[in-house]
Amino acid sequence: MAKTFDVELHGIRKTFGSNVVVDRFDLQIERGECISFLGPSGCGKTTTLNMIAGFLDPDQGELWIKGKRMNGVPANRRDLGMVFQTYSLFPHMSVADNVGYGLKLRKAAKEEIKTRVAQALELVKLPHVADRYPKQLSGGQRQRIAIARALVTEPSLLLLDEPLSNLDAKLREELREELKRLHKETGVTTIFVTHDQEEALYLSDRIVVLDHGKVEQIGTPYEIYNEPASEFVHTFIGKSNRLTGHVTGLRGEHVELLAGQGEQVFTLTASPRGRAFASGQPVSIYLRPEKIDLEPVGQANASVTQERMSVAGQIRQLAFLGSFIECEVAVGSETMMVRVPAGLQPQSLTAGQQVSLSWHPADVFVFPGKGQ
Amino acid sequence: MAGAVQSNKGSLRTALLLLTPGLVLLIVAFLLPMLYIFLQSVQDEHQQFTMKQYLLFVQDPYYAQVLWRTIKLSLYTVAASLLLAYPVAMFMARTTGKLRGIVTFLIISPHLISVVIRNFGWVVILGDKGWINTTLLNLGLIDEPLRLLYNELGVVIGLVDSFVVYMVLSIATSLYAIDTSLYKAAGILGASRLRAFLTITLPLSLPGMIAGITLVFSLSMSAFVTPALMGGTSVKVMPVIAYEKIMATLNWPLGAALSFLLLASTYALVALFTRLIETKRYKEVFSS
Repeated sequence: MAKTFDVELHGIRKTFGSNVVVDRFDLQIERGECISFLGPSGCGKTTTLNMIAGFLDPDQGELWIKGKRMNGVPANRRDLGMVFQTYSLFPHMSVADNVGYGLKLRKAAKEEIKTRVAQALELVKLPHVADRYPKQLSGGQRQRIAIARALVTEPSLLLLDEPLSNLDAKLREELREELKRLHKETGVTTIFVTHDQEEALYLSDRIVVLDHGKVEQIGTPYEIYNEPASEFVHTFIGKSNRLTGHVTGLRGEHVELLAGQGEQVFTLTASPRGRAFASGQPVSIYLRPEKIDLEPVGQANASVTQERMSVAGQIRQLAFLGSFIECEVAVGSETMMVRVPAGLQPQSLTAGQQVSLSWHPADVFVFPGKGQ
Repeated sequence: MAGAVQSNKGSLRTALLLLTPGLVLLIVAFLLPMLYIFLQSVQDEHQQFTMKQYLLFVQDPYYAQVLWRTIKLSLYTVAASLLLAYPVAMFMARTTGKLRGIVTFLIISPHLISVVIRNFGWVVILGDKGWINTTLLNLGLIDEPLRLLYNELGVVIGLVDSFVVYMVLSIATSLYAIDTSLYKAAGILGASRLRAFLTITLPLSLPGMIAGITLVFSLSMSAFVTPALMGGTSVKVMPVIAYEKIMATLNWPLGAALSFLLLASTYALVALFTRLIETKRYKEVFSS
């Protein structure tokens, strides 16, 4: 028998007028997985979630949940749990009535509702607020109640629609830890929609990166970060230095590159990662700030080995950011951001200083570019 | 802190200044005449204090009947307005932008015409030779004209036409305030559209319904033109007989007493209604 999945999307397409919002969306989600839909606003992630929830119907393609074809099935018959960005608690019901709403609709006995609501509130660590109204709770508490309400019916699938976006930074971190714990404890298959890459990396087993309605890549957080399938994925996740240049030649497994303009050019090598490049082809070259080592010129350059590449540069600006120092370094005609761990000798770096930058060729990403 | 106090004082003074023109107008044009009418109602022809006008209300069942009819017709008007207005308000809440503006205008636009003209319009439609009866007679569905005017039905039709707009706008305003994601939340938890309406929409539109009911009820209780024009001589309501006492029989004391009885009963009923609805829980949920 073929492997069965909790959720299957086959060639899902949705248009609003002449605007294609989602196209050729294929995805299989295993039981217990936490999957993130990640992308900028307008990428189609929320539309896709709304189709899975049953608020929208796809124009093309099939949607299966737990082995049942869901096209045309209304939201109230899909047995799902959902948490919304705006909490969406019923303001005229107490916390207990909010959490018990789904159970009441399923005609559970009064006593059972009471016990299960109590358990759900225990699960989100808010057992004492049962009799309060949503208005009397803080934002973080409201979202916890919303999570309890979504989980209490033991849904086949939990949908999270930007659940942390309305919270301030500290609460957001707290609640995302909470979500991770809840996912581990309940094992519920989860789809998490977010535009925040850090949340996606933190919570997901796999991430679906979307742009303009198309799936750019589906992979584990590690794969998404370290083996991006496209320039978009690489630039959307994490910070990266972009250099423009062109291919000068191919040597063994490496592509030889020339970055910069005019006289102020420098050479790099990169792994082509399965892509074909031709000599003279314009490319975009990327290098993450934390993958670059910075050494003041004149000091023993211990980190530069045979394998590593190095170039000379000059520090333009420094910014102390707690755990690291962000340096803006001029290299040829280009500018590169470099992250230096702050623990070392922050005072030893000054603006205007001549430095040497080095990195491993494997950390250089090269994508076919439009040139300048 | 000092600055805040200063500005509070300043804003209080500004508030009083802003209220002054309205207050002066209300005192001169409303409160003083009310006081004068009240004094009329408790005086006999020799300017001596008497309660006989009010006692007449207890002694002669005719007046109690009229008051009861006034209340009854107002309640009918409220019920019909509520039923007619709610779907319209829901439609308005579902539309946005231009369409909502157009619908709002359509609902308000009849009120750009005088109530007298609109009531005569109804006479053309509802009369014995009006187009409803003509059509039904011509189709052979009825043998003699239906009585749609100069009875309680006619008055209620006229009152609903006049006041339903207040119900629509009150309910629509409270529906606009409902976060539409609540419907999604209810749906995903298993609620059908009817269930979501009964458990989410209806309770959350309570403030709008209460405002609409209070407005339509008070306006219907005190309506004069419509009952006079569409009720004919058989359907007398309080404002109409108060008017007759004062203008036709020049019995100012009785007319004044009837007016005050009407005012008092309207106020008492509205107060009782809001008292019953606005429970502790209601206040907890809807107070800002």
